Amino acid sequence: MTDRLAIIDLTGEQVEIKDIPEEVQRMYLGGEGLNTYLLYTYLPPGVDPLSPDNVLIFGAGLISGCDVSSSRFEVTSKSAEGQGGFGTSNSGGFWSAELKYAGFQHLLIRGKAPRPTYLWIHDGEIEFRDASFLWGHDTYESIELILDDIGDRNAQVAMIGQAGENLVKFANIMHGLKRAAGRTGMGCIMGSKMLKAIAVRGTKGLRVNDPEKLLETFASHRRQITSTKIYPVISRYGTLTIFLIQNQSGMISVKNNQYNYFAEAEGRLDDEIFEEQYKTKSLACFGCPLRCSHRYRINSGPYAGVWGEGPEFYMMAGFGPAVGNADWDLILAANTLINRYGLDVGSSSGYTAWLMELWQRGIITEKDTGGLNLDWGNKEAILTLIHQMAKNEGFGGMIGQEASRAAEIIGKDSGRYLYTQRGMMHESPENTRASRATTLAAATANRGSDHLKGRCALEFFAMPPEVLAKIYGKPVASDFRSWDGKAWMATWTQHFTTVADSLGYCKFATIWPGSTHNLNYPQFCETIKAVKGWDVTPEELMETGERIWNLERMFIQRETGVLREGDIPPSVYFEPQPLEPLKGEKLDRDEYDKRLDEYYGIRGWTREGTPTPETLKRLKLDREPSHLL
Amino acid sequence: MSEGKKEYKLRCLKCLGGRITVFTGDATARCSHCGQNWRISWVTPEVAKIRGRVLEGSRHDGPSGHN
Repeated sequence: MTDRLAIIDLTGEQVEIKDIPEEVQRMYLGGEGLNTYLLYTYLPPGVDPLSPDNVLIFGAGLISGCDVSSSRFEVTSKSAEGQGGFGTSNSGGFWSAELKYAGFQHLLIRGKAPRPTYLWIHDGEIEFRDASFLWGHDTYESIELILDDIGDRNAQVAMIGQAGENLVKFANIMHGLKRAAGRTGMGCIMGSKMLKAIAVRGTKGLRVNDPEKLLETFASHRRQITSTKIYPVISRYGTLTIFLIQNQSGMISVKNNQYNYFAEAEGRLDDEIFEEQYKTKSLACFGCPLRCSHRYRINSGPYAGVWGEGPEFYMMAGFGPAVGNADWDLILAANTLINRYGLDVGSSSGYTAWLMELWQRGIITEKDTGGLNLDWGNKEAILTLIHQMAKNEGFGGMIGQEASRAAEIIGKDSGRYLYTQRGMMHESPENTRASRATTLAAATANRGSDHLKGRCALEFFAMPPEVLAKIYGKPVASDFRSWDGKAWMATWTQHFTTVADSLGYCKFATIWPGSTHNLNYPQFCETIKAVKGWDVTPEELMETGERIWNLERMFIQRETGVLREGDIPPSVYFEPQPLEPLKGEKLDRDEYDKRLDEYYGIRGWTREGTPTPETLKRLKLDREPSHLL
Repeated sequence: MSEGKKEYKLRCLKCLGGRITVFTGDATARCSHCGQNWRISWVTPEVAKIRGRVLEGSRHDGPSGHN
């Protein structure tokens, strides 16, 4: 009963339920893959992202709720941020497992509710509920109000805060107190449909092919994850531990990518200070031994009493060095605000950093900012900008509403310092121009500037060539500055992360963050066998990842027409790093173009970046949209 | 070799290629490749991690004043 799609029309409050054919699941799995299939099939070409005709698709991973660390759900639509291309994002937590227990794998939402609405999905039933009493409330408040309203404290809620209600282009869909489907403005799309939240609860359990085998697989995968070298670190500090690596190796954005190492962070910003001074407990997602999330509280100073969950590395770096700040208090106060409003960290900190550089250069003044002093690290100005972005007020409000046109509106020379890709704000902490595979994979990622598809973490650690060859199946250079084998490494990583996001695995339980002993394709195949009974090989899964990747590319081609010119990293990546240990490192434009050609060649794309007819036929994409579902 | 202490290897975060040798409980260690002196912390008695640069004299042992 779980393999079902609910097509939900908000305008007429109608629901149609369809069984998902096995043929479609085998082609696209679930999560990101099947969401992409539904987007390509159900969205009419050329629709405005904020139109009621746009579709918003929620999908649990194919094996979400079954295996260890399989908590992810994906949200996919035409992007609200940037050029209106491929919008997708995923989140951990408990929502995906609960959706499956409630009897659904995917939800396709279209239309626009006549009034603020939330959906209450429980044991196969879908109710449309008036959300007028929720509108205007932040995410922390909304969870409590919704759980009270439905009378079930075990329900799980995905929702928007005020940022989504106010149609901020980089609004997130939030789950719980910190989990976020961020980037590409999925919260903005949800707000445009007047949909405040989706609460889910199920008691019917899951039907799997071989329950005994699944229990064995779960235990085996759990042992594998908890025996890696990275496990004690991640389970204690979470992603905050990445900060030190990025900063010390000179790969972090400082003051809007003007510098690559932040000396002020030494002894002030690290994961252990967070643990000692702020952390109150560790938290985990569904079935995950990593428990990499944190609850925190600020105990003194101007923000005393502020509490929340998180932060992740992106928050620490985005509202740390990227905006010239080395104060944990400000990072945590900003984190709580961002999560309550439902704003994207990468974009909101990126725009803040950009505005601060414009201020530094005298391109904007108090006349433009409405009196805000945007000196680097100015805490009150940073928090004020966050309030303004979310509430659509003042100077920050303009940024939130006009993100992709902000440089045009400010004018002068402001666009020179704005680093975007496909119109999406470059993820503010990223400054990886010296690491070739990561730069290429992030730049060619389908949603634009995407470390979650782009980070090739194994290139950072000078792994022995034989280890890399065993993982990637081809020679890959150990030196992160070398291009040898990196076009393949980028391609491989994009397919791997796409498969993980379609199955519902957290990527931190896989080899993706740099632990060669974590879950990989063979373990994915074991779980698929236990859950679905399918005999799938790693090679077939890789091809599935490639198929999904190419369908996303077809969507971009159809909706924006921007291909090769959208695959170029931000302009600042072609300038030399100013500080050691990577002083002088930069991308060479001719070399990058050559490597982009190589990447397209591996993919079977033309020099313009279009999948060839032969490639589409090989991947069985020549018949899409196939309308099998 | 430090007497009675177990030896571990860490990857230097400055040169990334170099391996640093640390012994159980060490508070600092130097990379033999690039010479960087690091503060070491212990996540568990058997898992060491780099915490930051050794702060020599002034607050920073890095290129301060640049940003």
